[in-house]
Amino acid sequence: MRVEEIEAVAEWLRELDIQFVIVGGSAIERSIAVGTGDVDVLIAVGQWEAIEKALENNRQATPLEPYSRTIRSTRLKLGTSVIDLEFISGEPFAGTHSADEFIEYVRNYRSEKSKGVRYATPPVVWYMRLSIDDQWEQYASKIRRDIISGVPASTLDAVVDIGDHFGVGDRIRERVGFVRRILRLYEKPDKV
Amino acid sequence: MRLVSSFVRSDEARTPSIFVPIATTRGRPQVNLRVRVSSEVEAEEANKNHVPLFALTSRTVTALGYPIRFPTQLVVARSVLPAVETTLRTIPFVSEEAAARPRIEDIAVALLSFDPVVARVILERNREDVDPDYLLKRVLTENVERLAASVRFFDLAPALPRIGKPISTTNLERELVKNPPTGRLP
Repeated sequence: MRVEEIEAVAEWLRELDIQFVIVGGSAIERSIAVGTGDVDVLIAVGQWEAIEKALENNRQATPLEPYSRTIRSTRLKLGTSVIDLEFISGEPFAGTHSADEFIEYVRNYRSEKSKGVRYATPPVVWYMRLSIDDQWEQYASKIRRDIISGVPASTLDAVVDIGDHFGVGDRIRERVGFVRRILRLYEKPDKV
Repeated sequence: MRLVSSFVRSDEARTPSIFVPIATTRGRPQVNLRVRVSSEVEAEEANKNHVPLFALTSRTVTALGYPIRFPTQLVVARSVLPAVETTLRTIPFVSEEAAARPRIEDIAVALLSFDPVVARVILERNREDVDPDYLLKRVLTENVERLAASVRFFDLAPALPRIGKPISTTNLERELVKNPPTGRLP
């Protein structure tokens, strides 16, 4: 995913007056090349309608696919690029808080702005991966991919901090422990 | 004659609750312990306390690239097996080191005992990280050459013996593309 494509998505969303934060692998891609293929956009719950409306009559976009109520995707042509775009609202990640408190928290404390686009920091990306209840184990390999690419493994500590903030610290701590055990499976002893 | 295996306390101030005393004759001090493991958490606790065992769980195999559900199994070093009480199905390992600090190749070797095809798929999906020398050593140590050959481990560790009738490359290729990871968030 090229930065220009993320910026094109950001420009399109700004024109629709939608507040967002880039999350997922594309947020990490901003600083470290991890080879992600699409753009993930965290939005407020109240903005689903605007997104639906914008895509409804857009002949350059495929219909929004309802993978779930909170994660939906489309393929959108912007300029000459066809971009796989995934919209996510905060319900699965907000723990004991409201869904929109999650995006507010990310905007205020766990994101960085670059060329007018707000990107979530790696702890948010990993926290979101480990929050998807029926699939979180599958993200261990992507977390490992990020670590190999240069994201510090100590980022996992901050993932636990986010879990504590949203009242799901025990669950996230257990999952982080699991990821650490998976990472150890790949460790090779130093050859003498 | 029978081999008796047990643990004894070392210097820890507190003995973890997974260690339970072995009954002794009246009046004798209880110094010998067994480890009781019935869950992944208890297996982790035992492993942290230097007992060479680990839980082979469906979520570990899922995390390694093959989404699957199966009852948790306990991989235990054969040397300590008599001192382990468990309701989980056990997979004995000759190597204490591998049971104490497993690597992906060890997960594959353990999987051979109940689903060789999944074992092979796991190796394939982690191919860049597979150490052929270590895989060779582990297959030979655990004496699972025939099972390993049945799913063509020799493709990854060419020094492995080719015995028995291996799965055809066509059938294997079909298996390798089945059941890919399905995570939605990248």
